[in-house]
Amino acid sequence: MIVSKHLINYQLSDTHHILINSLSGAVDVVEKDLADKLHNCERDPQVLFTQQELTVFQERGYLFDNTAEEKKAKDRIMQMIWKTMEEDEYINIALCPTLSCNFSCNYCFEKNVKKTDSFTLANIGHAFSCIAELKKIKNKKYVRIDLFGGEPLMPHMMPINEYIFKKSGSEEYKISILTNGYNIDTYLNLLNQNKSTVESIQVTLDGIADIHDRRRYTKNETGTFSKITDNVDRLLLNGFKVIIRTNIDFDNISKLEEYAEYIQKRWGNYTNLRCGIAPVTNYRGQNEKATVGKECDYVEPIFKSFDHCHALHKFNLGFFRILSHVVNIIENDEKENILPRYYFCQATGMEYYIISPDNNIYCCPEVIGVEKYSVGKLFPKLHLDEHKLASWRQRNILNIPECKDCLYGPLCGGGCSLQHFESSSANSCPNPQNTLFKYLEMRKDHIIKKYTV
Amino acid sequence: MKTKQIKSLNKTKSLWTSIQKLNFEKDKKRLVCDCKNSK
Repeated sequence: MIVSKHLINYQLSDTHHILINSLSGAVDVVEKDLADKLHNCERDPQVLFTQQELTVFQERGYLFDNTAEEKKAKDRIMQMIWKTMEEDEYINIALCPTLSCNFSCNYCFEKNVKKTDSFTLANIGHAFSCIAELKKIKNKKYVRIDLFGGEPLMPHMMPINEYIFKKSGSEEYKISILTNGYNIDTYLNLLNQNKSTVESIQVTLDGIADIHDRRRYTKNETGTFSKITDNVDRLLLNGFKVIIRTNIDFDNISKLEEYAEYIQKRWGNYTNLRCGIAPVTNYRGQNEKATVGKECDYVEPIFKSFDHCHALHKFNLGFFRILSHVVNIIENDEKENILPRYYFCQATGMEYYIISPDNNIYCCPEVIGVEKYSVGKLFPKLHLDEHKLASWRQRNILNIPECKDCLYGPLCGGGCSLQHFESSSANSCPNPQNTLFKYLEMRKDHIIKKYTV
Repeated sequence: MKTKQIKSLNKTKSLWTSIQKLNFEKDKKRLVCDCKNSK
């Protein structure tokens, strides 16, 4: 019997350790002597542990019969994931009605994108034909569409969006909308008419009024906070599932507590609201301002006030690549067998097709409008470049040399493919150990208090 | 599972005893709007 290669053993105090198995996803708080025995396990575990301990540790994936069994388990999990993906009845589409936008956010990753391309009534039908064809080629039963952009709810796109909702309704496609929220009032009638088609609406809000307004303003530099928050009121009152997404960087992270209190006060009673914070990224170097940090940079600002500011708990950290698994379990009491990440994002981990009015199909939202990353064409007829698609999808923790034997690989999923493609350095590792240990160090007293009494 | 010295914070038993159906739907939903960075 051997100790797993995927065991993360972190000392919380003089008496307790936390064990995390990055392969099985198990998280356990154990007394120090047990953790020490696992750590210094030179003798056969069968001699060191009681039968009960052996059973638990095997179940949790901390002990295996031998190295080959552990490798087999890893391969089996990855195969299961691909198989589940293949058998998934949904095809996931992001449809960008337009690449134009009414905002000039200072950190936008689409800054250099040609902003004039839009679908028209003359060609949006063809886009839907392509979606139907993709559904058929991929042998899927249902379609889930994210309305994306640009800003999908631009006023001048009303006729196109009316078509999109009508067609989606008749085909029984489900739509989630990712919008800056500015024109919700203009679109409210259309949304209400298509309520059964709309699964959720994600609106971005970056902080309290002055913070948000200096980050997310219109083309003529007008603040947008007041109009967006009024629109969030409208959506919630009308019963839509709303996700408030907050993009964080060094510019706004210090005001998170005050912002969380604001959200709690204004919308705390709504059960149809979820909130998530997401680190701003700069994978293609398009962001000139040096306000973008790494995941580990936000651990301290978020968690330093986590115990005394309950409003902060409203924020989900699902957008955090490395931490989301462990944080979900420790902070959100997620007890079901939620798996670690294994894959980094939908570009590498699932079939995701972005239909863009520039006649391209992409698989990563951050490259919309960047021709060299196109993986297919819409016109004159649907064409998918399987070779290009594979260059994204084959980057996983089984294939990336640096990740194959990395203890943290299944937690981080191998890092961002785009960052890897753009980087001149061969190694684009996001240093998951640093991030995880920083979090555990910040929260060790909380973990001890919560789980050892 | 809880013994005197081990406090499990989540469940993994089914994954190891019978890998039949992973809780993948939940993960998939997480991913759907996971990567739209900076929007």
